Amino acid sequence: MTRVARALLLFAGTLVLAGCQSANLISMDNEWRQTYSAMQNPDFLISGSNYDAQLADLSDRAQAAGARAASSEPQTAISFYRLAALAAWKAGEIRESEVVGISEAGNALCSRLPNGIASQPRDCGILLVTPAFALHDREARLYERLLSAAPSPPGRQLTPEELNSAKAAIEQLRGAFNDVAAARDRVAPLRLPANFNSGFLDSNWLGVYCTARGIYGLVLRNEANEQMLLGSMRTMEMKLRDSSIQPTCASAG
Amino acid sequence: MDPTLVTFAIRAAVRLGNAGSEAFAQHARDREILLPKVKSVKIPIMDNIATTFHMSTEPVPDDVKPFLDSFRNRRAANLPPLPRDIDVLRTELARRELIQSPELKERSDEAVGYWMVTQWGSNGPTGPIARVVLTMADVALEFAARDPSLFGVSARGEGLVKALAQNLAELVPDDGDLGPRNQFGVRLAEIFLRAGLKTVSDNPEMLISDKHVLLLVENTLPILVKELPPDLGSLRWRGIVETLLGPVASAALQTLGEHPEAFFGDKFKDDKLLGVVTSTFLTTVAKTGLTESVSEAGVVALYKSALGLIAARPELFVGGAATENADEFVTTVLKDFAIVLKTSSPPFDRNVLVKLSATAIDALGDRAAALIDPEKPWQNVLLQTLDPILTVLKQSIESGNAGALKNFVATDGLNDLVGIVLRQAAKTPGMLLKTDNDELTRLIGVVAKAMAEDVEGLLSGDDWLAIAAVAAEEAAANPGRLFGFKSDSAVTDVALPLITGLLKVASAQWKEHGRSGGAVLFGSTLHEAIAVTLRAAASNAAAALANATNIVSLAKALGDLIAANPGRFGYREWLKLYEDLLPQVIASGNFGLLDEPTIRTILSGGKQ
Repeated sequence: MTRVARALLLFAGTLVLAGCQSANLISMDNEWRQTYSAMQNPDFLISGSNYDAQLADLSDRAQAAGARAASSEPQTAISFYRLAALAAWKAGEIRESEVVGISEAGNALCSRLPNGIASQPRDCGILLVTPAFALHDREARLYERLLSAAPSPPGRQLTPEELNSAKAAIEQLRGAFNDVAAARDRVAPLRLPANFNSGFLDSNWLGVYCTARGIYGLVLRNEANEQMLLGSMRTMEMKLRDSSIQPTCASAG
Repeated sequence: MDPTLVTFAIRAAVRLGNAGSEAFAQHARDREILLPKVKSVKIPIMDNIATTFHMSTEPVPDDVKPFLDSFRNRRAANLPPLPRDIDVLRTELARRELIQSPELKERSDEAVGYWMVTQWGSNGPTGPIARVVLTMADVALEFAARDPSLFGVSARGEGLVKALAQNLAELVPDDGDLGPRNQFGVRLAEIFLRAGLKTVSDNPEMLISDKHVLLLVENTLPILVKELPPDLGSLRWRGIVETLLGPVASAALQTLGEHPEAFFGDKFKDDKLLGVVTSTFLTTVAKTGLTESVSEAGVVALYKSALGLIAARPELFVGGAATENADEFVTTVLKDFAIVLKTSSPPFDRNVLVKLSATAIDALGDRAAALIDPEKPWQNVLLQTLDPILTVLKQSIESGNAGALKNFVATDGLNDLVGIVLRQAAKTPGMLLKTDNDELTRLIGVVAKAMAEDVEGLLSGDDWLAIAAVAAEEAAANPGRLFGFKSDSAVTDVALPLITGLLKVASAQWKEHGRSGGAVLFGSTLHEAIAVTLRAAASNAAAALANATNIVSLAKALGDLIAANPGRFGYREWLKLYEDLLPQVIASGNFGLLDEPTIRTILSGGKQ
């Protein structure tokens, strides 16, 4: 083979490889869509938690694909990392601890793009907020456990351990809320579809507030005149209103 | 091969490949993806309410505070919340949320109202307040469909709704969800609103003050709820009140619309009067089970009469607490009516008795001029007026020879008779409520005995009423003359022998001549003859009594004259001759010769 022919072959291979990664991304995205949809609407024989392992596996593969594509196709890598982060978040306890690391890897690539996150606003925006949302889900599960132990009505008071957990959870959620607020501010000037802002970002941001509020309601059972966390709660509520989001949380019963 | 060409070809291939690959990669990155939601949580309503009110800096409205305090206290005691507290607090939360919306801020009350009926209507009412509101909404919708003006611009029906809305907490006390008082309160609200809207709709010109309606509601319905007996007797009690409330409420509202000054304003210092009277009436009827003895219509007639008397005779209720006086009056009326029922039924039909009672009360209320014996408890109006009348009538009937009276008492004529007599008596100072109501008793006694003598039925019910009216008038104007001298027990009634004498003549002539034979002394002619006789006798009673036989002879002679000359004389001539000759007979016992010149002179208008 001539030197030219070898060079041509090598180059063509590179081109093919690039096409394979995109095809792989599409394939994984489809897998994510199917798995998450099934998780939301499980068959009566299969509980939602059966999908955790599948999502964890998908996250793992997507993360690996992102690492592989990072040097040659950073934008495709960002998409892989975005997928990996979302899947890790929704895999729950099995893989949520990986969300921060995956997001940081993706954010690093975003910052090196020619226009920063503006070059790939949707994926980079998702990577900014996914850690906060994953944290939320963890605290929401704690809230569910506390409610299960002390259902309402009448709503017994919390034990000291429960009370401390509740207060700590509120602090965590406050941090997550502020992270999302900061991310919102960063993506606000970017061109993003409306369903991203209102359907994903804002509705989940409200969800973070509502879980904090729900846990705060538990705290108030013990401390009817609680003041320390009151300021934080009011600040979150005001921030939502200032962003034209009605701080209305669904009630049960 | 030229190396330059190869270079160009490779560059071209790369450029194309890059572009294609890049386009594909762009597509892979940008295609629509599924974005997940955070785990959703549902906050228990109690926690949500507690948090909202704790976090909010907005002041709590005064009418919401009691419910919030109740909620917080129960939460602190680890007790489940009261459904009505939740209803009110959720409504307040909805209001706060709605006023945040710029589009709804100006119409937040309306929006909250809409929220209430849709929230409670679709999810089912959570508590008693919700149930009342939904029930009222149903009734309002039903009436609004028939009469849109009730809730339109003129909003004639809204005063009723507002009055109920301001008393919701009292209507549904916290005796637990679906407790007996709660259910009763919902039902009362429904009945009152339905009756009220019908009254307002049927009387479009009537104006009822919202304030007056509120006073009526707040002094009636909560009292009824509070008085509901806790025991098994409550079903019957409740049934009675629910049956009566509609017509009673309608009567009360009509009073408000037609005579607002009757119960509000300067005459009465206490604006609660109408409400208190109404609730006392209903609770007393329910307690005594009166509707088991008489019809509901009769009971409502009693109520209307009681209202009428209070409105006409405010002076009876001032001095002391007007509401206490009115309370006592209503209770006494019902108590006395029970006595009347016991003593007079049989022979009188119970529903006739209730009508008579209403008439008796109306009569006392009709004329404000009558003086009341201050030593007698006027509240016992029924025992003082109706009872003596009924006693006399009963004696006549039970004596076995009641004649026209027996038929009369079975008709509305009896009610009219009592009304005529009592109204006249009420106009006359001292005629009523004397020590033993002697005058009243004698008057009715005479009428009853006279009716008993009308065996042929020559006088109709209306004729007897006309006679009774004249008798009552003359008795009132000339006390102690026609119906016995009060100071001389030896003198008997003057009226009775005169009336019965005329009746005997009429009866004999009827038997002898009949209609076709020229008899004229029956019906309106006979009643006019009796009326003329009573009037003439009243001014000279002793002489009339002494010459009673001659008066009867005059009547007979005139009857024979008319019967003998049917082509020339009729009833007019009989009456003219009688009226003209009667004073002479009373004075001298003599009517002289009934010859042609005498007759002609009298009939042509000349004096004899």
